[in-house]
Amino acid sequence: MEAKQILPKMPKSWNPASKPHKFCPGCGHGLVLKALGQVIDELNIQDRVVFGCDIGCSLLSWDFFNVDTVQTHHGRTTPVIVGIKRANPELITIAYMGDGGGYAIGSQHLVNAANRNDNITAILVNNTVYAMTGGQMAPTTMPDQKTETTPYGRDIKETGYPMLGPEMVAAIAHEGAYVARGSIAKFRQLKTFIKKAIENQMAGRGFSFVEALSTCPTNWRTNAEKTWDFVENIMPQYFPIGEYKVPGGKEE
Amino acid sequence: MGKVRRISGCVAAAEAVRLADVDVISSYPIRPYTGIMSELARMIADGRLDAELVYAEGEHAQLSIVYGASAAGARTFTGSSGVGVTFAFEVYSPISGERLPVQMAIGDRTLDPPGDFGSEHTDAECCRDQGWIQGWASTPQEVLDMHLIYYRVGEDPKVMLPQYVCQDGYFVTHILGDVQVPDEAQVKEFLPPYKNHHILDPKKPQIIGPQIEPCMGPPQQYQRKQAFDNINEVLIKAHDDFARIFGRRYDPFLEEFMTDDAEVVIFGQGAHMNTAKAVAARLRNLGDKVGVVRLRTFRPFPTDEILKRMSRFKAVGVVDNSAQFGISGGAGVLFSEVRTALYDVGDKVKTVGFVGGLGGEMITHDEFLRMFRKLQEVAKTGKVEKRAYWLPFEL
Ligand SMILES: Cc1ncc(C[n+]2csc(CCOP(=O)(O)OP(=O)(O)O)c2C)c(N)n1
Ligand code: SF4
Ligand SMILES: [Mg+2]
Repeated sequence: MEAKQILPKMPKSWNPASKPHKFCPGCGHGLVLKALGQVIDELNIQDRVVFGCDIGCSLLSWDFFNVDTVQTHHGRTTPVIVGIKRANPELITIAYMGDGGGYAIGSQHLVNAANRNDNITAILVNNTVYAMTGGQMAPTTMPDQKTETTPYGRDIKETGYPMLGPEMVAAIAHEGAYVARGSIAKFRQLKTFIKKAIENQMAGRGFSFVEALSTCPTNWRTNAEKTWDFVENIMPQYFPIGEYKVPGGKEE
Repeated sequence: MGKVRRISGCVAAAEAVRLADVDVISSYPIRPYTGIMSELARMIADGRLDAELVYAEGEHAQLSIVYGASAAGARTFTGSSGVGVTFAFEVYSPISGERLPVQMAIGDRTLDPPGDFGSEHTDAECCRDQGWIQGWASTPQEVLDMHLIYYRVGEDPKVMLPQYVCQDGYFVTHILGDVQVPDEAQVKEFLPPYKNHHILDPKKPQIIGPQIEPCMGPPQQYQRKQAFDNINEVLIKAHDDFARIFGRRYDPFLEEFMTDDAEVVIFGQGAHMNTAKAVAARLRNLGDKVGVVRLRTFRPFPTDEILKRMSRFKAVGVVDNSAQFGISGGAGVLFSEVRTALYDVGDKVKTVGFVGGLGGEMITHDEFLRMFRKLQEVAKTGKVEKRAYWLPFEL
């Protein structure tokens, strides 16, 4: 008798052929992309979306969706997506990147796309490390956090403080922009933020940016319990969750 | 007299940086170079190395940081791989133009595409004409030694130029070898403390890197060329001193293997030549007169040495582990330059180009065997039917 594979219910916009996905067990990328997939379904925009992924573990999503996808180079997803949007404003364009891609090597693009109020959506997965390269300290690494390059913990006196991305983007973004920080530990809220960001683009109001606090058990070298504790309880102490800029000025 | 450790090319590079007592390091992760930065971070955390390590926001910043640090009088080190090397491109010429003897390790990796993790010389060869000294090491021991030798040559007052020390990704960066790690006293004797008189010092104000008038361009470029012309003499002396102090002698330009009465040779650089040597040794057992010549210094390209030493062979096969589309000769940059170097001997030495190992693939024993056989055919018939072959598709 042939064993029948029982698959969990997936968003319609997902590409079933690429599932199970390529991320490590316990990785947060899959949850962020699940939220995004559900939003694409609910807004019924699968045939209008162009998804761009950065180099980093986000590139493992190059065949994740059944939507047009472009894998760019490290840090350069935002400007590639800007180019696509300018060429065809009918498209709904999403730049998907890691914290290294967005806050280190691509930070100038994030800042300038926000300043130009480009009508695109950027989603940035903050897992506090450069995960794909083996877990080195990133701009987002927490104080005292151990990484490949900080074997005794991040010394903020030597290496500075973790980068506060949404706070920075909100400070320079213009009227019409939408900026928020969610967490995979608060899935429904994260999904709402992503939905509002994409609706903002659909309404033509300008730049939208969502940072998602996420997990990397492989490089954190944590078990399931410690992994979840870190993303749910420790990370928000430094990275507060909420909306930082909403059109019309109302914040959550 | 130091001690022998079994370490990778990455760790060997980091050991050299520690021994050279570098002051300022800048880093950004990218495989396979990441192994060097992680080792340096650990050395600093453990108190084995006292240096500033700046975690840059990308390679362009990485190179700019060492530009500034070197201009302020520090001995500096940085490194990268693949697209990281090309992302920093803008800064290479200014560093050499300002005559700042920055050192950079390159652990080769493919560019995009193919963008896999494999090794290709294409990344480092892109930067070949930016005014840096450049050479390839083929074992972890040679990596360590080359880093020390290049600091000494680059910082020589007659030279004052930056240096790339290249090693094949994975084949050297991540393969362990027995390495004689010298002790500090030996290194002190070989490599004097870094002294640059052309530095930013408020007591003796000066300007570095200003916008200049067109008429000042030619002399500035000519000075850089003259500094390049001085390298060979300094390089030879450094290799002699190195042999005396450390007991390891390298030919500064070309390593020859089984070439004494060779009729045909494979010419190339980096770790693939280790495979070529193994194949040559096998063929020697069968009575074939074959050998290998491994280029050690790529910039400055040793034109005269090649002319002098290679005109005795009947056929030379040049192996390029890189893709340079549309280049003269139809293979890669090594082929193009070896042909130019051998131009003066006329038709006496036949040359054939081989492109292999792209995408990080091995160049296999069998492929080298096919190359040697092709060269023997050329030597015998005196005819080159086809100038260049892309392996494995065309040979
Ligand atoms: C110009 C350039 N520099 C460095 C790299 C190497 N690199 C690949 S992925 C990566 C880090 C990714 O970290 P992050 O953006 O935080 O994504 P994550 O893997 O953590 O999801 C780096 C540095 C590269 N691909 N290109
Ligand atoms: S290394 Fe970390 S971020 Fe990358 S897939 Fe694995 S868990 Fe996810
Ligand atoms: Mg990350």
